[in-house]
Amino acid sequence: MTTLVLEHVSRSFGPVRAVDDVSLAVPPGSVTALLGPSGCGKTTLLRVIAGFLEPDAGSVALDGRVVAAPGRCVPARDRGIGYVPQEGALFPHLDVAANIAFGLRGRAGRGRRERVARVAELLDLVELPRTFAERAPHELSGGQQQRVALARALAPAPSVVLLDEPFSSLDAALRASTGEAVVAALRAAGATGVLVTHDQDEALSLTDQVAVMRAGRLVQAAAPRELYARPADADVARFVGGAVVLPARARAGRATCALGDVALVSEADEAALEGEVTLVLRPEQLRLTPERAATHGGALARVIDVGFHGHDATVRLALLDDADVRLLARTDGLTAPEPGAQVRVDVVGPASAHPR
Amino acid sequence: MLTAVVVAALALVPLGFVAYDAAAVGPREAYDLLWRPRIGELLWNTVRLVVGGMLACAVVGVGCAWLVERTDLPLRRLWHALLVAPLAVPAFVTSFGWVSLTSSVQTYAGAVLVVTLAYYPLVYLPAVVTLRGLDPALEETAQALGHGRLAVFVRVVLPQLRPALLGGSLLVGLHLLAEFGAIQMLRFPTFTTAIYDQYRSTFNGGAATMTASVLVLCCLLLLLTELRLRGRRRYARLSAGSARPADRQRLGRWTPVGLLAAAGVVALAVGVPTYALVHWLVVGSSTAFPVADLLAATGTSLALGAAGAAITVVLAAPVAWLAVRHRGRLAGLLEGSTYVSTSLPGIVIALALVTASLRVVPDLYQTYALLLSAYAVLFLPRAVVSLRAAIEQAPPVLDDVARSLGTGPLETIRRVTLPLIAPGVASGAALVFLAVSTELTATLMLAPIDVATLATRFWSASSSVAYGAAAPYALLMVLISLPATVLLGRVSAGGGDR
Repeated sequence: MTTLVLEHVSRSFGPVRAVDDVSLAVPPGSVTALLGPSGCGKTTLLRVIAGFLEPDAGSVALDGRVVAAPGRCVPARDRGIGYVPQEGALFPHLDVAANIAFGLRGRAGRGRRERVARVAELLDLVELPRTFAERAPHELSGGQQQRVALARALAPAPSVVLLDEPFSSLDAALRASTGEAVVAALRAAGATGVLVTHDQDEALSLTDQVAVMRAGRLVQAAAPRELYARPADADVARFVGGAVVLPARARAGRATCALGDVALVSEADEAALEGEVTLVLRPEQLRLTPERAATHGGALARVIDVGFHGHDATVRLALLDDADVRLLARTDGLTAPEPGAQVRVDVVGPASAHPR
Repeated sequence: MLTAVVVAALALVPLGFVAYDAAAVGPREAYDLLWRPRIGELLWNTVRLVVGGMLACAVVGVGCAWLVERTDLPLRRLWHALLVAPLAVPAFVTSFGWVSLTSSVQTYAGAVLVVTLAYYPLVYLPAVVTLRGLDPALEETAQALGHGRLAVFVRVVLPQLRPALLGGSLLVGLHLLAEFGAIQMLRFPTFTTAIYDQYRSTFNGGAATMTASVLVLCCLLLLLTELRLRGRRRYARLSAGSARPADRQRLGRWTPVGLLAAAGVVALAVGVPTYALVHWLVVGSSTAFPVADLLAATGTSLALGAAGAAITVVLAAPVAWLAVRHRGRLAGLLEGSTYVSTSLPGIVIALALVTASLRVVPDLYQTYALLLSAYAVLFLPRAVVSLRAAIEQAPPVLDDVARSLGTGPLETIRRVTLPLIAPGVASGAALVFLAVSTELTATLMLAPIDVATLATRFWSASSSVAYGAAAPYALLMVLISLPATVLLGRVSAGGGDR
């Protein structure tokens, strides 16, 4: 069980600050996602933690021991950190068993019987049949290759495992199931995981903590639920799930916007807000009812178009009073209104707000 | 990094020497040497041979590729194997086959015929690869847009074949500029044969160098054309996934015509030289089997091939490594410089090394060291191409993984990098080995006096019209070349044999 602590880590490539003053603590046994669009510096940060890159400033500590700081870096091979790169990168000239056993040292690496036992144990852990041991990497599907790559990283029993967009090359159906299996194996092995991803669904559903990065900086690190309910700003809100962003005026824990009077999340920061704010609502917080006139609260809007997805539908709307105000709502697929229909919009649940 | 710079510099030595020598001649003398009817005649002969050969190779190469890849010609696999076969026969052996049977090929038309038969596979192979990879959807789209079969071929297929066609033809051009043995036998004087004669008769550095510098200019011109044409456009399928194979054109009652065409090319390119060899082996009055000489020459050829391959691969390794792992201006420049120098004819490189060694380190003249460095400069690109592909098989991410699993740098090379690149290294070494063991021009000029290879033995026998005595050596060279040809025919990916 290890705590991974990053303090003020920076790393530049020429004039570009790829990672800019990032501090983050990853609790033992947890899985943390580094989430951000491509080019935000998340992979660079991962490579600094792994020991493939040196930081220009700041430090990385494992269990209180500094492993990376300018001028004194423990080489990657002595860090005991597992690494699962994109698309697995299995050694193509070795079979599955030899891939998994590649990093085994000492007794487990030398004795034939110990090796076979450890390989079998790891195949069980990543939920692959033991008969796969003899296969060549090219005989496996993408998801299976990822699982073997994880087994290979877990074999020397590292305290921390780093995963660099491990599921991005898999198709959608396989992505979810492989992701769950990989995280389950990490937890079963008791390893601390850091998962780089640009897929917010993956980050929210698989991990304990999500660290959102933007242009090299860490914008917010929070538990998935907390992140969704209280994004640090409107951009984070838009990036993590859809968002309806409206100007509003706040007073005493409530805010007045184009949709009427809305409660703010009952946290100290929001409760203290006064005056002009930016209000952030989630699309599923907008409830649509077919209606010709606003009776109590709510506002009237016209449906511009509907994106139908079966289980749900995304509805784009324009307010009747002010057609410049565009809204995005998520409704049940079967009860979605038709384009052109007039609906009443009500807000369900509290909104988050940020001073303007 | 430093080693790569040194290797690239070595590869540029011959070019530098030609330039330096040409500059040292002095304008007055240079003018006199160049502005002679003789040079004009050589230039005219060289240009019309190169242009004629390139055009004929393009027509024969594309025609055969279309027959094999796009029609329902019977026995296509057999035809493919036979059409690639001329690669196994050194051009001067093909030429020997024709010349020894009839002197009527010792004209311009005959020369074009013979060099075309020797070199058309350089167009045929890339054309086959392109035709195979062509997305049939493009042709179907064109048909749906209302174009007939011929219009589709001209407006869709031919433009896509362009890179293969141009690349292959320019390669043929470079080979023809460099070809010495075949052309000497055809008694068709060009720059290479003139350089050789000047060198042999007078050891006249000035005249040979001036002639060589004109030849170098021709080569660089072709090379630049190739680079420009290659760099400008890309013809790629836009979507992912592999193309499905195209429907084949039914030949129907044209089948005999197709068969006749393929059989004709094969008969002229493979049949005639083979017949000549067998004929001279069987009936030649001078035929003898000097077993000891044959064995000695074979041994020398193989030993030189092995040593040349080892040195070339070792020299190519840092260049290829830089080109793959540290892409950048400098790496590109280094890689490019190895190509420039080696597009120069063997005769120019040999001449430059002779002058260089005589002037700077006379002890090196006619030693194995000098001969092997000529081979290295000549065949470096073959090794670089293979090694590049091999190193691309071992992406850096595998090094990262190995490091994260506790492996040190040397152990990573031993356990990961070497096993992955071994096959590519082996095939690169094999290509160089086979090229060296049938090399004629540089060997003739640079080999130590008492050293004879299969090629030089063959050359001296056939030059003194002892056709029967020459035949066994030619046969052995063909046998040695066969494996590489099989390799090329099978891989069929990558452009030609450079």
